[in-house]
Amino acid sequence: MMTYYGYMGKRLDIDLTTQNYEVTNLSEETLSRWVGGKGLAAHILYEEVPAGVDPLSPENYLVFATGPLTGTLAPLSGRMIVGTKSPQTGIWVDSNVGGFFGPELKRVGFDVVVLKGKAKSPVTILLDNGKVSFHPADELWGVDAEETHKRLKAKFGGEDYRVACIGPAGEKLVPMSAIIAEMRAFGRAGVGAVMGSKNVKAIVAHGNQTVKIFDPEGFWLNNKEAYNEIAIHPDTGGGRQRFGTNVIYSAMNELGVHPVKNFQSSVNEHAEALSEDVMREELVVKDKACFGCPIACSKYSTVKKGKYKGEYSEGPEYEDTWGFGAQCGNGDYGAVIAAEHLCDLYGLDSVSTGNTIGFAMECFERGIITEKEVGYDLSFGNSEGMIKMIHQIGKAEGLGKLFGQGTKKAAQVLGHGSENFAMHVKGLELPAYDPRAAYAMGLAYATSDRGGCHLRSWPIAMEALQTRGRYDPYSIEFKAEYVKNEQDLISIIDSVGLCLFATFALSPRQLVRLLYSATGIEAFKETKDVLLTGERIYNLTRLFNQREGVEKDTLPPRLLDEAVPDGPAQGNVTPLKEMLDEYYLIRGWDQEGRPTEEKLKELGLL
Amino acid sequence: MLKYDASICTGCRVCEQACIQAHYRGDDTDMSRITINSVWPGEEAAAVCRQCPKPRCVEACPTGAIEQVDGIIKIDQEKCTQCYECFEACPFHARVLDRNGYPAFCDTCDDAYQCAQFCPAKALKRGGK
Repeated sequence: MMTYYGYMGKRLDIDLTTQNYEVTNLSEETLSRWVGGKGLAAHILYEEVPAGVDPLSPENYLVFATGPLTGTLAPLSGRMIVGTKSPQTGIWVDSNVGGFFGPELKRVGFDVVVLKGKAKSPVTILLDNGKVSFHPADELWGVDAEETHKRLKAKFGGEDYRVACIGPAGEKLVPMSAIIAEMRAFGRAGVGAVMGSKNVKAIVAHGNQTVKIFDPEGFWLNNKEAYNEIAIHPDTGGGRQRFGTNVIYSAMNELGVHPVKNFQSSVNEHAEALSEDVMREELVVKDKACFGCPIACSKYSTVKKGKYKGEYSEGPEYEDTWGFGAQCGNGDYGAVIAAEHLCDLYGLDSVSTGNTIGFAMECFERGIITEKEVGYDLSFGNSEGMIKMIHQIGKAEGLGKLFGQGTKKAAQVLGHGSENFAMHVKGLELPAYDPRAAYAMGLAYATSDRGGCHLRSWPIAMEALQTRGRYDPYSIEFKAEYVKNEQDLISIIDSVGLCLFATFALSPRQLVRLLYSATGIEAFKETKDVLLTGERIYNLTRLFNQREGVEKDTLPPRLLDEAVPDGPAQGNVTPLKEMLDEYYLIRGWDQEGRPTEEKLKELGLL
Repeated sequence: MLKYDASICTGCRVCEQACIQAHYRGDDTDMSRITINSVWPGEEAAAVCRQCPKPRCVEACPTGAIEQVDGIIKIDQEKCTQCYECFEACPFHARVLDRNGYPAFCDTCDDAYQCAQFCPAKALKRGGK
């Protein structure tokens, strides 16, 4: 049997219907082609789950996948993904989490855990040092995610029993529900509902195995260099350590990138009240890090005054400060923290929840939904209405049942032109960047493999912050190439088990050196080969989506046809078509966005 | 000796991985000699032998397995009966086991304290002798 370095070498398949499980060795060929994490999960889903299955049926897979660097000395290596067919979008989703669950899964002895079938009644799966057992979870059904963590840790043996669970939203199959792992979230596109559909309340992991390293001396030196680099780089040291992801908050507001009231404006009257300085000075109690992270962008924050005094969360994150701030016209930071905390308790995707409530508020102000139908005032700026709606989405009650499905489906039901301001791509809600003020972000949204998302490519660093070269945000020049290259690189990051912030400070060559010294796999020796593997992964998720009949790459009509009324980007729309044509050309895809035969052959996909 | 400030520890556990890589290379692996115990959301505590100058563990050990040689505390596993009296005596609550159940002691990495060198928050620091 081969010795695995970086990897534990094992895939665990659990059939919940029969409560049988099987452990198989991962082959070097598979790992060379698909790496781990996102790549491996996409490969498994594409090969083993037939096209057209209902995402909430027992036939769908829920794949928890770590990468070869997860849980090692490599910086920012606390990451793993969950891959599945999304109930919210009907296409591919991989949702990434930091924290401590991924490293613990490696310590248990597994790289990948595949959940199939459906349990007869709610279960918790315990993975304890290679052993698998099933425990009834009826008593935990309906219990919030934080309390579930507490109870399971107390039951199985303490804090180091790492938990990934769903909250009440996942149980109720809310399409925007998340999986909460160690109080961080596999957030997007309804992965929580897939777990709920399988009647799995939680997975608990605990182990004491260590990851073997192929070239320990080289790995050690590569890490010394990488840690130094991250400490001194302006995008990872300093501000990001102090303010977390909110380090960009004021810049985004000043540049007109921060959308206000469902992308109706780019001038935020509450910009100062929700600034990163206010956050740091009035809310943050302590810096917190994911496993292996020298940045510590996570913050433990509490609300010390006002209506939401006593509320707390691990945050606030930039996307939530937007979603429950400017997007809902709210300027009370306490309400942002309270909303963020509620999303964690119910197990909801805070980006989609915040975006959708902003959408609901616009519907309310336009009279498409009335106070009588909602049951309370849902005007922009009404933080109480916002909080009430989160409860209703989490419980799938009242109009929360409709809005919990996301803006795309809600707009289909509500009509009256609401489709034009349903701010989603392919059914997944957009996060906190207006592409009319940073064009490449529009291309990144339109071509993201899981719909409206900023994490396949984040050109904000290039065109808004300009920390990686100086690019004109209102030009289409070089944008297609940048987005394509970053999508390929981040596909690798999401597959090796690092955080995408690693790309801020480390060059592709440095990342590849870490990967090769950890694994010793020949295919990971040269940077160009690894980047080609990233391209292979991005093309595979494309093929997956096309097999499911994905809609075309586009943006909400508001971003294409409605000019920004105010702020620095006043008068702009997103010139998507021009960027998209160039992008397809660079990708080797046809004019409809389908990978050509030639491209698939080049990538070994045909 | 090793100093630790829980109030600025972020709980990232880089020290654990640095410890593993500093001591065990290639196929020879064991657990870290330092453990960070966190309670969400805000509590962190390190369990690690501090290599303190006046070690109570040496006095507490009933079989003489723990000795201080040239200022470094060491354990002789041949003599250790795994009674864990040393854990009880340690004022820093350094309760760390290796894979075989023996108490695991910091060896200072030849006075380099790699955990402290890697610690991003500088919560771990190399103190005086």
